[in-house]
Amino acid sequence: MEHMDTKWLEQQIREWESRGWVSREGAVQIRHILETKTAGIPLPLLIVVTALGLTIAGMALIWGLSGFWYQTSFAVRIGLAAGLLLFSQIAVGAGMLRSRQGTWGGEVIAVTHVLILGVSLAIALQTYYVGWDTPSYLAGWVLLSLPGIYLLRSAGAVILYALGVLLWAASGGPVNAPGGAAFMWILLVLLVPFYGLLQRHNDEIRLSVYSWTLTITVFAAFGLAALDSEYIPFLLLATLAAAIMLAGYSIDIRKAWGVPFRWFGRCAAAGSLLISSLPSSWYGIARIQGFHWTTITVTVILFLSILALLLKGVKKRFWGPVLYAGIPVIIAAETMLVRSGLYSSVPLIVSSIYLILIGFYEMVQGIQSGHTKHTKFGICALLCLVAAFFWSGSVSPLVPVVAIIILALVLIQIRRTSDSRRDAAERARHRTDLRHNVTTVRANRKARSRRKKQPASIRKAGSPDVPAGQPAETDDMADVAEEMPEWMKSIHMPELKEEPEPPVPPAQTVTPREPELSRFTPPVFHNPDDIPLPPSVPAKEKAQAPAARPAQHHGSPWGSAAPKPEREKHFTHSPWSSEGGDRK
Amino acid sequence: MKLPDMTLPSDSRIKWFVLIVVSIVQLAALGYIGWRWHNITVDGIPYQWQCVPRLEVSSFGTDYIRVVFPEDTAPWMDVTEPEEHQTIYVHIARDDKGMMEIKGASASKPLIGGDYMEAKVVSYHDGNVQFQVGFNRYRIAPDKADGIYDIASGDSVIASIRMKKGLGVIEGIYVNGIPLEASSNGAAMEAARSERQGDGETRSSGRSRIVESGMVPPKEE
Repeated sequence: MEHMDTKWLEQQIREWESRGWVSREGAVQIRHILETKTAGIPLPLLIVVTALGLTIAGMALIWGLSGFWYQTSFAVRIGLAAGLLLFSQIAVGAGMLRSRQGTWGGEVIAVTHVLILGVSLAIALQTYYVGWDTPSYLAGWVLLSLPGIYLLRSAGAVILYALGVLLWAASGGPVNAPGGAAFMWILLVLLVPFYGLLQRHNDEIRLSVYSWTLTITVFAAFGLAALDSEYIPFLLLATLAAAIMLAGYSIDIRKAWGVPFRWFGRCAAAGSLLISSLPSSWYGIARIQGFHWTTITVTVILFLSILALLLKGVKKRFWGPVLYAGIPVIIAAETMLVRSGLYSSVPLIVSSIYLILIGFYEMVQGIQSGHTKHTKFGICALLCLVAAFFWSGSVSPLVPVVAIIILALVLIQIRRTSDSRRDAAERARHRTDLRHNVTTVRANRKARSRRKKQPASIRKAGSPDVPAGQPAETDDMADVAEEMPEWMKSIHMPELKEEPEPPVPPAQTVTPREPELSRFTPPVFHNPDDIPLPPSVPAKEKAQAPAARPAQHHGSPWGSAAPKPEREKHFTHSPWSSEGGDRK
Repeated sequence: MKLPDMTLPSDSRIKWFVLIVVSIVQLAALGYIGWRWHNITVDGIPYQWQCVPRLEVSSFGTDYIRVVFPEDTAPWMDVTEPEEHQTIYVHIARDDKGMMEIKGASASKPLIGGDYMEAKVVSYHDGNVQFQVGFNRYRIAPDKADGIYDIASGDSVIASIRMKKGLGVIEGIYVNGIPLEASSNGAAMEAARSERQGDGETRSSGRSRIVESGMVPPKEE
């Protein structure tokens, strides 16, 4: 059946092609679509089966080659690694030559180059084995693959680079790296100029990919590096979060790539504040001998960048960024307090109150501007604070609940008071603007009634301002405007403006349109005497028939109808008409 | 946010210069890995260290065996306790027999004249640090690795190592003074094969001796 359908369709296509209904290319396209649609296996399944088959074939190939691989000499192995690398480098050069930067082709070339680089390094390190160190391998790989990202402007290579940095941090790379965790930041900072490169080329898709990748990588790497730390570095986290958030605010709010910076920064800043509101997080800070110099340096640099962004980058949105920029300042002050040996509850209380303030700020922002995300974020921050207090167990969770309720009531009361004050001020202002009293109102009313009594012609003559050619509606409006009291004119009346006459188009530009030939045929009127009369009818019938019944000329079925016979009238008397006699 | 312009003009020669430099650096990295290994094997100081070889299990097979060094603890010489996975330097020397002797471990390299090897901290307890060295593989042909099964508990298994700048390469493993490869079935079969070939050669030579050259008929002209 299917074969028959295909044959019939083929005949049809051939026929259409011969008749010229479809072009040759069109026929080819139709055949292609038909082949795709009438294929036995659907395309996704075909892809899955192909991928599975290729994977199995690849595994079998590797298995088969491994026997030969163990018989190959070192020179062959390193030669293979170098050959692969050289091939990928030539591909990069070809991509640059053909200006494939920032295209899908460039992405494929860059990703392939990065992967081949990793494979070549692994072959070399495994062949000439002096010990396998995963962090060293990953660090070397990401550093050597970095130029490929810039040369081909590839977002896919950025993702691979970020994955490499994350794996490096997860495998304990910061422990042995020069500078410790600072090396991780250096690796990430090396990606920052790529943002400028993408911005110059206005590559919005890659900018979005880049911003999401970098933001997630920064916070994930920070978390991984913090796992090995003796204390929770929430001061560093707060400064980092505030810097990233302000960087997001310095980007145009309509651009998509600013979203991850703003929201990840906001969440991380609130999270660091939440951590600082727990007593256990301060134990490590108090216990350590001192902060590492790299931590101090990075923190100072981030503080300076926050200041720079506040002064230059963030201009329009002031309060939100300032509020979040205050978080690292508060935590820094609290850290100094704890490090100086003053162990008290002040840091916990200050952090909690500030988090509650931020929660309410976000909620109010969300309610006022209609952005529900802000409201949800504010609620989430407050709930997290309550949960953190509940989890820590040092303070009753009712404390933040009560604090939140009290603060909410205070805020509502402040808002209500400010609203009532604003209304009162508005009323007072309105009252001062209305400069009329009973006397002026009555005088105006009298003047209006006097004017109404005057005839319209006199009024028109007495009003030379109104042009003669103005429409009647405009005259009426002008009259109404004149009749209004002065205080109403100033409030409601729009200014009467003379509408400018429409500009006359130049005579040269208008081509008169030729009059269309009308198909109208003028009717021919006959003298009534020329019209032949219908055959004579009896006088009685003539009298009963209407004077002019043109339907009869046209042979209407009602025109030739026989006249109805007159019905005899039988007058009936009411049975009560004779009752009562002549009494009335 | 203003950032430095990293865009390379399309007609610029700088980008090609950058590509060439990057390519050379990447290839040089491969070259350095090979050179480092060769340099250690040629120029390194030889040491002998007790070891326990173990077969490596892999889905695709391997061409090496795992080498475990039982002597993996050393007194910690620094004040600051080491972290897990931290790179440390094990100070070493040679005794009269030429065997490696561990003096201690530190986070810093020894002074001039002292030899050392790089290692990673496994654990730290009571002033002693347990470490793991990087050179824990010995390349061996797959058919010659089964000599491990013949190693008894009382056997002396020694790894011959070359050390340079903290890095090491295992040159060979000796069981009671005999190379590990020599005690494998593969080596025995190889010896038998060569012996058989040798016998064949002797037989063929004997045959040639039996059939004298003078008995071979001369080529017809």
